[in-house]
Amino acid sequence: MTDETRLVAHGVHLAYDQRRVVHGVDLAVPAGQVTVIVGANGCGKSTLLRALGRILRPVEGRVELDGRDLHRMRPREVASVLGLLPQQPVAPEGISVGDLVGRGRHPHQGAFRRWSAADADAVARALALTDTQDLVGRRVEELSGGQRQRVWVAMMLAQDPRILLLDEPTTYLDIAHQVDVLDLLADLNQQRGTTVVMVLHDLNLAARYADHLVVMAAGRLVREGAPADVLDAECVREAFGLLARVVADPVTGCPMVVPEGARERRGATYSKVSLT
Amino acid sequence: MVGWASALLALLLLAVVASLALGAREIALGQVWAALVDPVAGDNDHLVVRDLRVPRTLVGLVGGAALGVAGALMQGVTRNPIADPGLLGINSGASLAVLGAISLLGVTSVVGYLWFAFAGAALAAVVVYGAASLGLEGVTPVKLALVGAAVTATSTSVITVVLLADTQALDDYRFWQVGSLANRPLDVLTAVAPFVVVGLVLALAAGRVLDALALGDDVARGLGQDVVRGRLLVVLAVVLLCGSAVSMVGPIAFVGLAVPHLARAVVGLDHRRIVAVSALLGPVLLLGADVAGRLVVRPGELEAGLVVALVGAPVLLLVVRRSQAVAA
Amino acid sequence: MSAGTLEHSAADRREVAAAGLRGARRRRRTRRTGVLAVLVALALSLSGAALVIGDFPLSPGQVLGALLGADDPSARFVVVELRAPRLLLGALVGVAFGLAGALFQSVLRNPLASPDIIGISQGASAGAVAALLLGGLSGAAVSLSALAGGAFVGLLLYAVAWRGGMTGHRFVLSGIGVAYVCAAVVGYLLTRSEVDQAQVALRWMAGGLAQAEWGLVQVLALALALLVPLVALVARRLDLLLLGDDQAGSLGLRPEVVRAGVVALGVALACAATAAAGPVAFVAFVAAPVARRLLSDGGLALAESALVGVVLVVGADLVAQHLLPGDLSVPAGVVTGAVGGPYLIWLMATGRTAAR
Repeated sequence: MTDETRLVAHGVHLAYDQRRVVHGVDLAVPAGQVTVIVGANGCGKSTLLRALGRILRPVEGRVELDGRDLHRMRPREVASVLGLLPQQPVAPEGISVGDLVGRGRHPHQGAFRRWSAADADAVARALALTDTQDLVGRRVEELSGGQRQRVWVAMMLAQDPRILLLDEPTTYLDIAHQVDVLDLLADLNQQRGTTVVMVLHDLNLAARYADHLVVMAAGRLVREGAPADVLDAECVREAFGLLARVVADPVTGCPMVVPEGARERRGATYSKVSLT
Repeated sequence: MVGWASALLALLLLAVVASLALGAREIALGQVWAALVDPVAGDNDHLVVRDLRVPRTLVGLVGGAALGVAGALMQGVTRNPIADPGLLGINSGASLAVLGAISLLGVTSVVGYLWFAFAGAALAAVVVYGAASLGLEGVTPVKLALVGAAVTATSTSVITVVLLADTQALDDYRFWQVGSLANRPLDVLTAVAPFVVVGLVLALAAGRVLDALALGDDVARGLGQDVVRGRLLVVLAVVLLCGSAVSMVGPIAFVGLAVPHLARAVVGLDHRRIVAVSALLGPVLLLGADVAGRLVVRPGELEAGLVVALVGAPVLLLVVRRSQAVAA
Repeated sequence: MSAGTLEHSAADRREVAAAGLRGARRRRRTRRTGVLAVLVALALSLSGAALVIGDFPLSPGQVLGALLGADDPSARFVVVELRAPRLLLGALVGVAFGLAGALFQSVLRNPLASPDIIGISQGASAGAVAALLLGGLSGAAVSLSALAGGAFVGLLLYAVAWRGGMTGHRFVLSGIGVAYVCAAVVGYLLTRSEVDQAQVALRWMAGGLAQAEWGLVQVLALALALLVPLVALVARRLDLLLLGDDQAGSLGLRPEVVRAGVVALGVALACAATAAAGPVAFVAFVAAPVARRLLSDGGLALAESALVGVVLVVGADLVAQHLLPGDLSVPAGVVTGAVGGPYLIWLMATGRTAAR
């Protein structure tokens, strides 16, 4: 099952106050696929994600959801299709996991309608999917970083959107938890056809999990396409100013970026690892 | 920075000259100068300058500097831009002590209030800091601010009870509590000057501490700052400065709130600079308000404590409106 | 959708989650019911005491009789004309201050952002004191002037703090600045009037219920009948706003609109209560932190804050009227400040986490 909901940016310019951060980006998010946006710090990738999520209004250009201007749609209508997890979400002090995940049901509740069985079902499913069912009664501030991130993802799942936008969902997580969260998202995509758009820092994880890789530099989209087509040494140099070799990931065969830092170019040798 | 410093000094000089030269009685600048360097006994103009305007100018200089710097320290140590002597309970403690002196002991002169105000301010600071440091987390900025507000509310209630019961005390107290530079004998100044000097030195020394604390307790510790000792140092300076200021000019809180904001708008986030600029801007604001108060309703006058809020608030609102700080 | 492996393996986890959710909801409901019950019981017993205790000795039976229309003119007069309106005024004022404080503190994310700190109360005081001392007015005119003063401050803050969005920090700071201006105006008026007049003004500024009569109660009740349903309407949106603007926005909220609405409601509630009873000190400040501490589930605790407000005002008025020694007749606002302050300090000194 693939979902045909289309999220498209047309010539989007984005700015904070007067400072322009993104200069005319065109991006058609492939429906039912995992899109990963990468780029150097400050290249505007999080900003672009916020615009895709209706949080930031473009100063020029527009974002369309199924052909309609996203920023002219009713917020609640958008929210029932599209969920966004910011980089550093804030949990109200003292809130329990169950309550927090329950907040995700807001777009589906009327002004006066109280908690329903459908809401309870959706929350239970979200908790189960993220394997957080045992944390229900715990306070969010007592959780570890990995648990907390899963709870936030659970909240988005309770929202039950067809498009998930995530800003660096793996920040603060150890490598195992990073893979856990990304596997979870990939499973959702595979089995429920959910469209996933996320910003990631780690190029190798990006290449591994993306169907569609978007590379940004200095507020512009420099490349996009399948990771194997997009990610090469030239691309890494262009986007990050880093000399690197791109080799095949021994596990998946996806492209893997191995930096060639200044030390290597000076001929530094390592006792245990050889560079090829 | 040099440009700003000289502009500020020029501004301060202007405020001092205005404070010496302007008032209910019109005295030419030449006469003012003569009164300072070559006084003639029996000359009324000279008498006014030497006995009235010089003391209140000095009181304004010292009091303004103390209030401005105290405000900068408080906002720094609580990491809360709305902290000031009024909000942290210091002024209300001083007020309660002064009212006690008026009502219970029949004290009626500013010199008489002096030590009561000082003791009240110090006691309030100790209570606020002490109560905020109990509990598991120790002192946190939020707790300091909340406990300060609580102390203010409690003392205000007690003050209200006393004033409702004692009409005579109300009559004396209401004039003290608006805050003024007028009729402060030089004795008051010489009595508190040492405290202000020590307080200012501590404040300058605390600049680095505040820079570290601004990054949060954990980072500050990581930078090698003893957080507890640093905070105590700042609080000690605050007590000395606030106590001195309140006992001289009454509970004028606004200077402590507004001056650090103006200072930050000028020099940024370096606390030593904020402290230094606050020490210059405080007197400018207080003296300016005092001079304005003398002129607007001649031959009467408005107390500096009133004018400073009326003139300063619009400036503060402008600064706040322009500020980019988006700490929602 | 075909049941994938993920769904399948998740079936029992889902059961655990559902059970956990039910348990958590049940626990929370139990706690909430318990807290509400205790607060209601407290409010009711204080109300009973307020009707029974007084200079004119009445038995509970007589009070009940008077309320139900028994033929005892003096008891009827004391209960229905004196004590009941005073009690109701106290309850309404408590609700309004409790809600106003809870709304401000949560929407501005600052525990200091209660109407008594950010200038609303001071604006109302300046209005009332000007009416009392400059205009020589009394009664409803003073209330109206207070209302105008508070509302003016509210609008001013709105105009100043709103700049393509409103941040809590900017709003609170502007409010404190305005509060100082109002305090300066009050100070000026106090020093330029006869000392006995100043004392009248001072009594008003302390906040109390002595002026209670049915007309006043009706007006305030009407105002609350309008405002409280609106509060109930925004409550859940405010809940979401606590997740931060981005998250709230992505859940289908317009953060700025919600924030503006909540602030407007808070101003209206605070102004109405202050106009009726003066700025009863600290009720708005302390009600929400106390209520949240009692509940401690991260919720807004609006109903609980309102009840805490009722308990505080009605209780303080009882203490002020009857429990203080001698003929020291003080307004209730003095007691709320004198009791609320130390209580908050105690909360801070013993608390695990700082109240929000």
